Amino acid sequence: MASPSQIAVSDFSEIILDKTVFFKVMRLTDSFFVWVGLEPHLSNMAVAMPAKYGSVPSCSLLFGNKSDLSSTSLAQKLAKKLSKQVFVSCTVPFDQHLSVLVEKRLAQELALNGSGDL
Amino acid sequence: MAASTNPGTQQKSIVTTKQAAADIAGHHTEIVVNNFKDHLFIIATQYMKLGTVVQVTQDLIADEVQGSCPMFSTNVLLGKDEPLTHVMAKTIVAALNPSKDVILSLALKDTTPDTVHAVTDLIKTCLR
Repeated sequence: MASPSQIAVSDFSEIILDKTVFFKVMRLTDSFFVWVGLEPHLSNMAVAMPAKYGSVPSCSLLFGNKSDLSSTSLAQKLAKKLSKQVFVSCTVPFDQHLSVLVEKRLAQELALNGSGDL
Repeated sequence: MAASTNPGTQQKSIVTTKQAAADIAGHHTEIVVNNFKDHLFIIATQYMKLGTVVQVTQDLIADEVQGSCPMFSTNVLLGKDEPLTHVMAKTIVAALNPSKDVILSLALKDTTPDTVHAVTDLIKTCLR
């Protein structure tokens, strides 16, 4: 019955601006799931995918606070970078400096683990 | 914590993830269960994609005759919003009887009751 797992899940954490930020990245076929947070909550989820026409990826918030744009903007940026569909749940409180560093760390991780087209 | 050469990293995760994979009716089936504090995020897939994302919330109805019986409300967040999706989501989550709300991602090649039950059993192995 048992067969090898085809979905790779990687967990890591990083101290960014004195806060321990936790990451979870799941590699699925032609898509990614990314969770970023300080606490173990799944309070929102956004999805973004590259649009066929135009350079800005389309994105949508599946659930959570609509006024919190951290997940949607991160999803959009990652979808553009990876040219893939990306699901993002980001529960890091908004901070201009923090979100830039979080993005940087994610980009580094996604590039390291051979997504191929970064 | 002991001093390490790389102070940037420490404990790995605060969200546990359990995975299982099996062959169900000839299709490779993969389960990922992420245990968040407020949600269970369950992925059941035969396409290795998220597919349809359903939010399942539990409503406790106190009934004088039967006592409290759990009822589940399903809300399709992404994907096919057809009756079968709701039925499958409710069947799976009712069998799991979780203590928190569930975000369920379903991408099944075959939606026969046997497959859905086999998938449910496989998810159960990740919840133990």
